Amino acid sequence: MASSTTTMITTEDLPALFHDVTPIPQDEGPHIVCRIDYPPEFTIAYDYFRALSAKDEWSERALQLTTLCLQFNPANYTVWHFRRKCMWALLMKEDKSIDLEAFLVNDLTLAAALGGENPKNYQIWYHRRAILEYVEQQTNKELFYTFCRRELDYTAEVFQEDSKNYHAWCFRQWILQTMKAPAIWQEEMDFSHQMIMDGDVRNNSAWNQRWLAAHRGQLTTPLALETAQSEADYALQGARIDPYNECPWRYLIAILKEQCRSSTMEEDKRTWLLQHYLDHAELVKEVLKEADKDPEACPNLSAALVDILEMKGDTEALTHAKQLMHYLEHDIDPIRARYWAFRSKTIEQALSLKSD
Amino acid sequence: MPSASNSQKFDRERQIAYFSTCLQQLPAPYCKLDTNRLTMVHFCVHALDLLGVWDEMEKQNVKYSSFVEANNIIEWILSTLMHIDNNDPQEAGFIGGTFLPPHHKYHHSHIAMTYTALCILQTLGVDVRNDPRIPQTAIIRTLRRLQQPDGSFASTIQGDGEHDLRFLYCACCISYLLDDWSGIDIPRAVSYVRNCRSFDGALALVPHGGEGHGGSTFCGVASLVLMNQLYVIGEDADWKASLLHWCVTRQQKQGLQGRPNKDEDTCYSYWIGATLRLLGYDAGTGNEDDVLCFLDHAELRSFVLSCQHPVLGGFSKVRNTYPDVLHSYYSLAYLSLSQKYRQDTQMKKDLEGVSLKALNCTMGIGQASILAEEGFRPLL
Repeated sequence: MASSTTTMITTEDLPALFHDVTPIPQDEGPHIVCRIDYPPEFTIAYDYFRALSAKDEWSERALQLTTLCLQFNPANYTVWHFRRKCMWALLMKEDKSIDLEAFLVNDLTLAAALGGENPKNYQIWYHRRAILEYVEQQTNKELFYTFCRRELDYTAEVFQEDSKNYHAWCFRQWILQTMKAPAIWQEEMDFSHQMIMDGDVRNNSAWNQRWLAAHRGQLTTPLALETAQSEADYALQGARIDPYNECPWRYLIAILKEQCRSSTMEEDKRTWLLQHYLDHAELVKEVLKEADKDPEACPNLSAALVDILEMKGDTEALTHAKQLMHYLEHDIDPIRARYWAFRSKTIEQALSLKSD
Repeated sequence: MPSASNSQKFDRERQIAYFSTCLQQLPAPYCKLDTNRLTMVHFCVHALDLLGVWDEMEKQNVKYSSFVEANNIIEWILSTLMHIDNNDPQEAGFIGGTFLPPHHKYHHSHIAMTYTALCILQTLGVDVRNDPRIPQTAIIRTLRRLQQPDGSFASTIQGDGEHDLRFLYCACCISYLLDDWSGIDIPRAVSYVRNCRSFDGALALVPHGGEGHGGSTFCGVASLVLMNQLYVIGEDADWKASLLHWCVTRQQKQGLQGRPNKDEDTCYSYWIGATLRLLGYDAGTGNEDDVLCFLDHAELRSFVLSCQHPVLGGFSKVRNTYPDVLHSYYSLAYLSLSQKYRQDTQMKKDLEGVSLKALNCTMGIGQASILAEEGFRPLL
């Protein structure tokens, strides 16, 4: 039995399809607030929904009704919830006449169709997740992985339209973490690399994804030093493409901070690491010089230098940091003048403690 | 320098017209917010509150024509309250509209609607802690059922939906308004917030890898403030520094962006502006280290005002497009917040002597709705 969710009904079909059902109108009470100018078809569809869901009829025709209702309002979480109840009930039927995979793929297709004009709708994204959870719980690992891979491809499609779609990135992360397949993280490194270097080096979501992938999904475990260096080098590579871009600098600082916080890091290794990346961050100024830009006037570069110098923490480093902050405050990042003044004071306090 | 060419003057009359019209009637596209109508009411009521309209009507007997009366709003909201005897006597709360009849099988409360309902009622003069029409205990009991093992909150007891930092914030606001924290396992909630920390120090909507975002950053920080746990950031010098840096770096040209390298959007002037204000406040000493001033308010105000619609009123997300209720409210909320920074002459010109009521930036509603004299714990 093919799923009839592909048969899209219209409001005109409703009286015949639900001849035995009395629609329930919305009762907004005597004083309506924020009255919505509902289109007439919307009202009809939802009058039937109120009636059918009150009876808890989980059937093919109920499913069709929810399809119609969701076209009018894809954010109605009650309709989605009721739809899923219909779906699971139909799939659980004794005769097992429904092809589970086809049935669910159908729903994912519907969700994608609704998602087209509603890319930031929480309920639609959640529906995709609910389907995957169902497959994970009710079928086997192989089928679950098949669905996961298709969904990863789907998010990649969505990124073609909007490479920063927050919901898509969250969903992608959820899939990866739920799959519990260690090998997937290297693939994700490649994916994030593609999104950054081939896509948009300024895509913060992609850099964020790289952070997760580099950690193999284990954010509470700091990177091994070798991996940290590799990632720090990658960040500098990104910074050289556009030194004004905030992302690679913040990524670099996060890598270094994580290493420095790590209790297993020896003092001399730490010193070496910070000095090494301070020097290499400075070298990014060459890119600016080659482009005839003032190498001292790149706020995100200078801000990164300031952070590394503060991490170093010795008198010379702090003095240098203070100088950089002065330029940031007065010349190159005036919109944040008060912030840099505040940070200068903090450095001054640290310096005066050192000289005591 | 603020660009005088695209900065408009704040138009109080037009803003009143916008919000009062929306409070009566929303156009057809809002049918996609049918289940969220209560949040639209929340924005309109609180906008009119910040504009001083309810006070004028009540205390100065100012008459506004074709206005929705406060009492009617209260009645409508109470009609969305789940009846305790409906299906599950252990559950109570509000639903976002009248799209389901009160005794309907699927009529369940939604945490964000309970939050907004209580805020609106409180602002309109209902004593939410004591009013017998409100099932305070059952609402708190419901919160306990909504909290998940990881510390987050589901929005409905069916649990068939996303859990994220927004609903934790709602839970905290509800607990604060009803002055009852027995519905929240605070240590679990705090650990959820911690797990939402992103690599750059901001807070994501979901834990374990989510991207730092202005809206979720506010939800997390404000939740910590409400739970009296802001010290978890305060005592982590690294986190505090990176979060502060992240917030102030969201101002690129004029307005604030919600994430690095995204477009400026008016609502972030509130989300991030309020976050900064909260971060700078030391609950222990009661002192405010004014880190909110780390933003350039002349530029920010200029951006927000340039998004004021010259005909319809309201504010849009970005310049040169139509306003929507959410961005209109948060723009107004930011303008209230920024009143502190009136020193510069541009500010005086921008707001043309108009005063907005003070905003409580933790709750996102007027300060006057939650006075210490009425037993509310003082909050920024």
